[in-house]
Amino acid sequence: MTALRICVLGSNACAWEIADRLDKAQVDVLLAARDGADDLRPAAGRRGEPSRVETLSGVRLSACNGQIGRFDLVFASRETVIRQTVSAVVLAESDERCSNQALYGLKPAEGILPLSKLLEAGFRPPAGTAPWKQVVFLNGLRTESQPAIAGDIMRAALQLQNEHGAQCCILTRNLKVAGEGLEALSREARAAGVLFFKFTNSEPTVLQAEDGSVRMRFIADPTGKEFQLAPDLVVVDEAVRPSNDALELARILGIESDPAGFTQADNVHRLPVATNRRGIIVAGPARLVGTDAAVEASNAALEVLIGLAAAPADVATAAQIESGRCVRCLTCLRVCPYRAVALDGRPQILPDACERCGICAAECPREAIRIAGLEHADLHRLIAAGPTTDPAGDSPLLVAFCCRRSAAPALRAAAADSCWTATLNIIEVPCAGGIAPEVILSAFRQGADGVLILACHADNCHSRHGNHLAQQRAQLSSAFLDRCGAGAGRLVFKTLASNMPAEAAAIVTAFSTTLHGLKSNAPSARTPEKELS
Amino acid sequence: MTTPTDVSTLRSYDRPRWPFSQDVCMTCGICACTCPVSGVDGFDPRKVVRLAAMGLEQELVDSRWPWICTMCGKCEQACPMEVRIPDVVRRIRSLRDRDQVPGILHKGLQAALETGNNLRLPKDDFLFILEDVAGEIREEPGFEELQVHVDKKGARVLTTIHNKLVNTHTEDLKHWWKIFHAAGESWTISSENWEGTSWGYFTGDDDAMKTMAGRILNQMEALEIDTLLWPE
Repeated sequence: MTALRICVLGSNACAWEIADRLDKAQVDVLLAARDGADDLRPAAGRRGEPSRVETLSGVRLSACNGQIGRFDLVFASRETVIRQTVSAVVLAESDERCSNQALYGLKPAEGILPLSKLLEAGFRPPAGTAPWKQVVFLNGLRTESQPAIAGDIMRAALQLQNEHGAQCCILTRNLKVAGEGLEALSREARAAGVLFFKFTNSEPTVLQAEDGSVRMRFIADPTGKEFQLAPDLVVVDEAVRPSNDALELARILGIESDPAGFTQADNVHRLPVATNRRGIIVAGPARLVGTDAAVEASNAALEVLIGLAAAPADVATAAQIESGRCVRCLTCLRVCPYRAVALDGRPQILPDACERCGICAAECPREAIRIAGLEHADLHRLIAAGPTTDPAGDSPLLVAFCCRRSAAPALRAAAADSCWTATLNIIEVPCAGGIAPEVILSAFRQGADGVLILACHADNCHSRHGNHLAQQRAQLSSAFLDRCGAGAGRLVFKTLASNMPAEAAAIVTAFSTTLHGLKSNAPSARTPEKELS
Repeated sequence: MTTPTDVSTLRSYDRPRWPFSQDVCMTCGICACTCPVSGVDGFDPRKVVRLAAMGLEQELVDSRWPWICTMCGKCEQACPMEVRIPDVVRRIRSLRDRDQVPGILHKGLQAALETGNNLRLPKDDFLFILEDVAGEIREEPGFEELQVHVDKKGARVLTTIHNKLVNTHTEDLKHWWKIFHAAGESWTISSENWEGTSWGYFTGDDDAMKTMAGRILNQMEALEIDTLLWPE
């Protein structure tokens, strides 16, 4: 095995910590960031020991090709292009804060500071001005409160009140305290006399005079009393978002983000710090708001080493592109959620990146992609192995294609104590997005009265858009069934989570009832290998 | 329309703190939901706690709210922040001038401090009522031998009397006494300062509570009794 070399992208406490931990684990590290050399603090500099950490500052990543074990990185600096090969990549970029001042309709003025500026100023007014007597913090009145921001606000209020003799008020809508020590901090601030005014259905009236000074008036929930304020200082909360560098790097690395752009996607099937691309790990402030650098560093270092220690994939189990059939339309490259298709003259599967979801194979217009165990013939056999008659009566015969991460466990749990087990063929697949229309029709050809496509909920697909593709194909197939006269109602697409057996049972029961109705109208539809072949 | 209160006049942070955790209220409102008298004259425990936390106790002292509270304590049981709400209410009550304490509580407490019971019931009348009730019990089968012992030195149990039991609810005395009799208990009632209801508790008057508790203790010492039954 070649020596491991891991690229850590970022220039902040978390990135340095990760480099340090990997260094201690005897792994070579390439610490790269866009910042100048002065800002890039190498781990070795802090410990004064020989280091395996190599630094690359003032560079921009412009490409990342390859798969876990070997990624080819291209960095651009002002003068030159630098190529590096690494085993894995950790993206540990920074976040940034932007003031909500404009949202509150406040013009810049001496008596108004964004939270970060107050922290930077060390809680002291500019030289030559009087100490602040009354400070008002605005928290989460215009955007949803953010625990990391609320924490900074409460710490600042406590400090100003205890050390600087100011009277502090926090005007807040929801006060989010879901963070380390924040509930205790809220208690401490209240006990120190910091005044919290909470707004639910109302908000303070904020008036700014020509000279920039601010007055406020409000009815305080829940006393119903009206108050007024003329603070020396108004501290405005801030929104937290990933840095522009983080957003750009996530795009170049081809990893999914959450709706706000943070590099940890909301996908419930993925563990923290993992991404859709094996061997690319995310950590730090740009992953999630309010993370702890040390915890992030441990998780990231561990995850990246575990991933690299795993045995390389058996090439035979990954998707295979039949070069004779492939016409290089690049559909596979476009649809693969895991960046497991590389383009080297023609598309090629990267076996260690492939998760066997089957999306590429199902989407390929030339049927040029095969996955062992998931080929049409394999699925055909699984369909054929199911029940062909109802031993107890005339319940409809059902085939259910189920995602193994969600619907399959739910339906199995439901089937354990139900009457329709004998007529239901549960076919478990890695992703519902891997079921091609031909496979759906194959089920009907083999005598199914109805077919269920059961996928994960919207935005909860391990394969990003597998559930969405499955739904699209179900719609197309339904339209086809309708044109054939078999009835569009014979095909149903639903979404489930693995903990929803009751809902799974309800879907099957309702579908069976519908099919009974269809059967009485069109009894011939059940004849095998007839209308649709 | 009243003028808004200027927040800078609130002294939430430099006044002496009350030890009832009122400041940590997070205004969740669970107390207001559990309170059986929420809504009466606009009262609810959360408003009381919030005004106290803001240092506006004088507003509370001047209002009727603290006197609407029944001191049942449900709010305190429900509060997730463990704010001692009845203690807050009681402290506010204590801050009102005594002659401004609502009529019956103030008068009853004055009577108790001056005469030993809230009713100003003379000793002879009290003893007559006790004997009269005992006579009624003795007419019931099995209780012919029942005795009421007053000021019995060396008895095992001293019991106090809630004033309404020698006024409108004498029937309620009988249960206790029958049980004592059937159990062969050695018990007694004091002829002086027998009042078991201490309205110093409800009016926030700690001195009055201390006086009345002290009297009971003195009786126990004088009668050489080591067990007290203090119903209420």
